[in-house]
Amino acid sequence: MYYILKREDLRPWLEAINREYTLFVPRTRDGFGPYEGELYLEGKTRLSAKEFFLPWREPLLVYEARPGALPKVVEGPAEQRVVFGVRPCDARGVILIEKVFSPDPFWQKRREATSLIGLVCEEPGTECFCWAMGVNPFSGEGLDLVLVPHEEVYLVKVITEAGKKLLSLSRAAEGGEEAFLSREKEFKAKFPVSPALEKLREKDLMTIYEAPFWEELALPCLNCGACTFLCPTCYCFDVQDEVVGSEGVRVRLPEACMFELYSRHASGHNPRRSPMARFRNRFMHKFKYFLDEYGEPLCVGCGRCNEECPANINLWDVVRAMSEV
Amino acid sequence: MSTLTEKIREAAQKVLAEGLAEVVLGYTQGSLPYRNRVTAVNTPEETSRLIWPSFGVLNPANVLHKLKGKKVALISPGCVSRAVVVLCQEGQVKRDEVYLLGVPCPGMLDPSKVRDLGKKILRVEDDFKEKVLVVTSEGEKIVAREELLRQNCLECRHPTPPVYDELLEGEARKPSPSPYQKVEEIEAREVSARWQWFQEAVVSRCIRCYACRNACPLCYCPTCFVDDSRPQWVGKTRDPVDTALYHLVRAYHLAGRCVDCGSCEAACPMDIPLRLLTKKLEKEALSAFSFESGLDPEAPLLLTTFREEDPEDFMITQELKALGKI
Repeated sequence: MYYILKREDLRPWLEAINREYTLFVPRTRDGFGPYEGELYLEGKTRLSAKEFFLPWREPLLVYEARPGALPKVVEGPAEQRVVFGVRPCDARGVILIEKVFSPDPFWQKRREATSLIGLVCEEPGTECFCWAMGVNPFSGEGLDLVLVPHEEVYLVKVITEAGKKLLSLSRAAEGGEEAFLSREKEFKAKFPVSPALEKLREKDLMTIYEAPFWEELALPCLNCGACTFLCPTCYCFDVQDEVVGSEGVRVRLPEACMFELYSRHASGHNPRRSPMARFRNRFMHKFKYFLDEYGEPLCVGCGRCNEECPANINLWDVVRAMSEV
Repeated sequence: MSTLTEKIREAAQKVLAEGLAEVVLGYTQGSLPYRNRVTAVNTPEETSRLIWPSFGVLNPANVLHKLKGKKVALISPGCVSRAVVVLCQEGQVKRDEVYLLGVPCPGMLDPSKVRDLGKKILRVEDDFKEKVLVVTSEGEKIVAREELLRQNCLECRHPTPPVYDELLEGEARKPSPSPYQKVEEIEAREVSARWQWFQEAVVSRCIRCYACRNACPLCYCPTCFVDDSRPQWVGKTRDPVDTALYHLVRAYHLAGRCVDCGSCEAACPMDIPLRLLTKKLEKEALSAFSFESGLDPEAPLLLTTFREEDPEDFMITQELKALGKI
């Protein structure tokens, strides 16, 4: 089902959603927040929409810190939320993470309680390459609704029943299918999938792993967590016990494979002690292990890493080296 | 091609050919017009990769630990030279294991300031003197260099390296007459307003990626206090208490050591004004002890030196003495 929403009708629609649900929007370039009037639509936010599903602190269970006490599992979050302005790359990131996280009850609860309204970009950003990773921003994958800015209007495609219900709060009128489909066709013709992916699929894992280029490419890398925390598909986590007095909370939090502590064992042994080994792991995970396991790369081409990496590590330098070794 | 780039390539070739160093650390063009990358050059042929950057915002001295055992030459503007000097003073690097190819620094441009000039930045041409031509998707802009300089370069007191093995010819920026203006703006506020600034500008926006720590050439503890797990000193989430503690300890660890190269701030993916914390400590060291870091590899370190005339007005007993209580 396709609809047309006038640009001036966007705000009243958001106000209407906000009256019935808890609405989150991209507020500034930094990221999303509760809707209070501020709206950042000029490009993607620095922090991706994955923050809604893998929050920086997810309590898993609470316990009394004394011998013999049994822990209590925390009831996951249940508040119904609507998130507007999710870029299709970020939505695709949620789908990719879900391949791993689908059995997790906390993930499930957050997914069930959250509706996502997608917004296709006016034009690709400087470092965007979603198409190269096989993302079709018009597909609406992972979303309930998808909006395409088009001349004076938004073309809207309804993906789910929940999306249809949300759209009924707006003044959108049926129509726009032709324009939507031609925009989609135009995009696909102009922006092809990267041939590197096919090469990576065929390459022997150990050949890439043992290739000599890693040392050189990893040299400038700071092994900080900027890329992993900004990445809409990085999902590695840590579990910590926070104990104050006799009360303990076990929490899950985002962690980065770039950190030495992440792979350090309790014995003190660390299989990825060297900075290069950690650098290699991040790219091997995204473009070989995940690709072999799930058939798709763990990357949606949002380009945040390329844009924000302090050391100017460029993903394509690595992907090219991996696919051509 | 800028002449400084030519001079650097020539000097690097000579250094490698004459065996003055096995590796040259410097900058090369990055993947975006407003990014440069640190690079290591091992042969005279590879020196064609080296450039004098407009956006050399990370300190290559930070990479020295990865090249242990090799004699390394560094393309060194003031802040790179000073970071190496502190590393020498602290016993991390031996002075004769590094070769400092000094460059009188005209200051680097701030990638964020350039990025904000248009939707897409296509090309940047820097004359390293007065003007920068920025070609954007919307057209061309000529901007005064002064307007695009990084804040730490605007506040730099030592654009010319104080210590070097060889100094290339060139014109450095004049040392800043007012290096602490931004710090003073914050200092002028009430205590509660300063705390609020710290919470809003720094703590609430930090994602704990540790890019600031990892980019710092002087953060080299084998295990950082935030990574200690037995015992764990700091919580690992983005809880404001833990994040505040991280930033305060990080800054204090640099008291009397920071050379204000600005790598921390440049590395921050959230553009947090981190330098203000270390700049404040730099100001304290200067006003209380007339001390500036990284000027002489033979000089003692500020925090390991005691002089009888050192001011003690920050000690609690001084206050009590003034009140006649002891």
